[in-house]
Amino acid sequence: MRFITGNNMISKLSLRVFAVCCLFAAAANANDAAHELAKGWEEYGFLAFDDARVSFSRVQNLSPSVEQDQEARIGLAMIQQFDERRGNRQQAISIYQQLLAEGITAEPAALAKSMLAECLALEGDLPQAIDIWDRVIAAHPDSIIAQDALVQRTYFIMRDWDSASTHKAITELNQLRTAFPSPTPERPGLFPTMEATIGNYYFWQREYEAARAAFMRYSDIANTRNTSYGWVAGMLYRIARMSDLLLDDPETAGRYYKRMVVETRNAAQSWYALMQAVRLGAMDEDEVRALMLPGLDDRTIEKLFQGEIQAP
Amino acid sequence: MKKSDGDKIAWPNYVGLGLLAVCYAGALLNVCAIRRAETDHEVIRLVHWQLELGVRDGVDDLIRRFEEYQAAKGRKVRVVQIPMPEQSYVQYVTTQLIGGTAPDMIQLGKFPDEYLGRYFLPVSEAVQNLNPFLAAEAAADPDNALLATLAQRPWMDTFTDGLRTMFYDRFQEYYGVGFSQFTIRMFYNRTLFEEVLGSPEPPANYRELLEACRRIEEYAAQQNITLHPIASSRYQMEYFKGQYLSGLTRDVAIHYDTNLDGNFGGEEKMMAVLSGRSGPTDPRYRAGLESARRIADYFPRGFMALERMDSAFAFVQGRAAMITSGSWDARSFMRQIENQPPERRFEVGIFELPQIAPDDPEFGKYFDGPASEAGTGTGFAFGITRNTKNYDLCVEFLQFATTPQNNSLLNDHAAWIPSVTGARMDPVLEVFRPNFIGLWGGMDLRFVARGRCETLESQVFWPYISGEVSYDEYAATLMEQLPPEMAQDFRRLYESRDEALPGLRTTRSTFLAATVFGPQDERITNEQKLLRACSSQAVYERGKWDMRIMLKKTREELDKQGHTPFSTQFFNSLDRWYNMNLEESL
Repeated sequence: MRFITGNNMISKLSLRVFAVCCLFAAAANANDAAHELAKGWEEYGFLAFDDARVSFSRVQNLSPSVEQDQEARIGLAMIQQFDERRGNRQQAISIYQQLLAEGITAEPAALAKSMLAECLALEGDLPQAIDIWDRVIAAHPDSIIAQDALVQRTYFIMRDWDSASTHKAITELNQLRTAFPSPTPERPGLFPTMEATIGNYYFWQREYEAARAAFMRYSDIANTRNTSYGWVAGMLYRIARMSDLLLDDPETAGRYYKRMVVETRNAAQSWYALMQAVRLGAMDEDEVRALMLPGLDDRTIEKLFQGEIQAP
Repeated sequence: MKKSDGDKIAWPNYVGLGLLAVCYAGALLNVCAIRRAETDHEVIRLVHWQLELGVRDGVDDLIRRFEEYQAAKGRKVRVVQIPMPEQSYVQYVTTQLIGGTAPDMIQLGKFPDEYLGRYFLPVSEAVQNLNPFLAAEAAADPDNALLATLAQRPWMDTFTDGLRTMFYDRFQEYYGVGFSQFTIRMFYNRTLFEEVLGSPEPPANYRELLEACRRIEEYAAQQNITLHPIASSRYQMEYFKGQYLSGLTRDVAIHYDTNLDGNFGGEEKMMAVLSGRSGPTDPRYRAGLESARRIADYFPRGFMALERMDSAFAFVQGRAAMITSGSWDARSFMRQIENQPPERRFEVGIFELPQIAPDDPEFGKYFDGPASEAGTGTGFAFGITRNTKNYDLCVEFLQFATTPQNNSLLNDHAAWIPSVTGARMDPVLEVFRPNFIGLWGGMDLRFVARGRCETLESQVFWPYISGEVSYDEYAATLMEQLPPEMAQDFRRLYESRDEALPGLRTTRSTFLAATVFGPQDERITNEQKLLRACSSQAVYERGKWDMRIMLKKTREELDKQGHTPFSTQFFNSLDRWYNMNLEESL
């Protein structure tokens, strides 16, 4: 009995040791899986798809958690989707569909669905793609993935600026984006992209008020930190020019010419914008002097305010 | 046993073997020394192709001070400078990057931009934070208000150009930091000017430049000496052409920038030509080329066959009175002139390309202003490779190099323009400082990079510049041959919008994944990168529709006003290639 008990004790001890070992092994595997996933995305970021593929494939041999396994498979699907050299869009579709059938949830589900829709749209099945994107937008309004879905949906529907398809795409873009949280300069989401597209549409429709309103919303949230210097400068210039030439609104034109030279002085159009701002009375001599633009001396400022120098 | 003849002559082989052994031992010792240094020190290497006078000394000086600074903190750091000839630079960099043995920092440029996304680490986060060395410099100079202000600004905002050209749209990241800026000016022989023209001052405007050239040419003929008013090659001629053609056609760009975005794109230029608003028959365009050609009359005969360096030699040896070149050549020119025999040395002056005066009898009515240099970016820029083991140390080195004090010292050696606000500059070089007082845009036939119209124009331009054909012949040839070429360029530009999309979607996908699976504390940063990637994609998505509507509106306008033979030929060519009716979607 004691022998048996002793044997049991040994068995229990062995079991405990085994369990602890298993726990360590599982933790080590989870760590390894997390490491491989990080490596896979790093390689993906460098567009080194072959190396990324190796890392994502390894994850499946490291006893990953369900979430890690799904993440690795999304990685593999995205490689199939975006690797122009060795990718296979059909394979990507099949991985996404499998993941969705297994019940993937939360933001990874939104990403998988949106990527699936993009594959389908490129394969020519636009109605089904639109249906999937609409479901992503409805189910994940707080995620930026939904905003991306809406942007891609718009591009795939759009045709010539004056076509019925584009009119439909822009109307729906305007309507569907109301579901998203309001943008701020700190967290603009993809609103600047949407506003630029909407503004362009109205511009070519010659609905300049509506176009300018969209461009102004863009300029309220986009800055040189969250988007590029050139785009910020270009948009400020565009609002100023539209106000000046098309909307007979010198006050707004002057304000935006001034914003342009103050906020983006390194743009090639800054001197032109400054001349226009002075012409429209939006800047006084002190403000111009305070800019300290290289090459702008007192004599030039004097000539500028006497009207001896004018923009062509 | 008697040795054979072969055995008798074997001793040179032993000498060879001995030499080989000595070399091998030397190499081994060298490797050991490097290994030991790497064990004792943190080593970072940087490679660049700037072999101009003073640059290597400047970098050495910078390295010495950086190592001393680190040593004072008790950190053993070694920075190794690898200067590389320009000719073998791309080959070296490519091999090292692919082999995973690249230096920690590589001068950006020469190699394709694709390398950045594949082999370099972004510095976006670092450049958006403060440069800690600025705070130290400000603390050492408490009376300097500018330094105090700069110390509070993100690092990128302490550069004179806001580091804007280090931002690569395609990857939505900052990949480097530039140490210097570069502009182009005219160098002239002040001594000769005084002797021939009676004053060492440079010409104040275009007409005075022509007059100076005429008198110098006359003087050379009288003295029977080889002296050209302006040393030039094709390279320099391109500069004159660009400056004067754009200077006389700026209003074309400003007024026919159809979408009003401040960029006169290839499609807008094509529409301006198609509608007859500009092009070779436009008097402004003609004036632009004619003004450049007048200057070419004073170039050496056969200048088109000369290399850029040939014209530089002519200038430094006193065989030419003027030359256009960049700030990068300033120190080299001055040193080479100092090295001439005493009787050939002269004083050098530098001036901005003379502008056409408003009262110029021929061209004054068309001239709107010089080109703005506000967008001049930073050069001599370094990026950090992904194989580095010392990313933070590399960033620290770049931050150290770009404080006003250190940036001044570095550029002093090379006589280059500093890239940092508040950095000192040699007064002689002040004239190179980028001038913001200028306009944007201008007309040319470069609708698309290396396009067919650009090639065709180039084929006719050089005979025109050399006087083989008149301007009327130049324009007639272009008007006859341009329409089908322009249709090809339109097609190429249009198709390039679609061709770029897969790559842009891929870049976007990296940020989508980073947003969902990346660390939560980087979420906002990744969302902003996604925004920039989507914005890049949007430009191309919308670009083709912009092209179509511009073309459609121009066609409607021509339908009303009546087509020209040029426009008829263009549309015939375009429709034939595309079988494209614009009312139908693709």
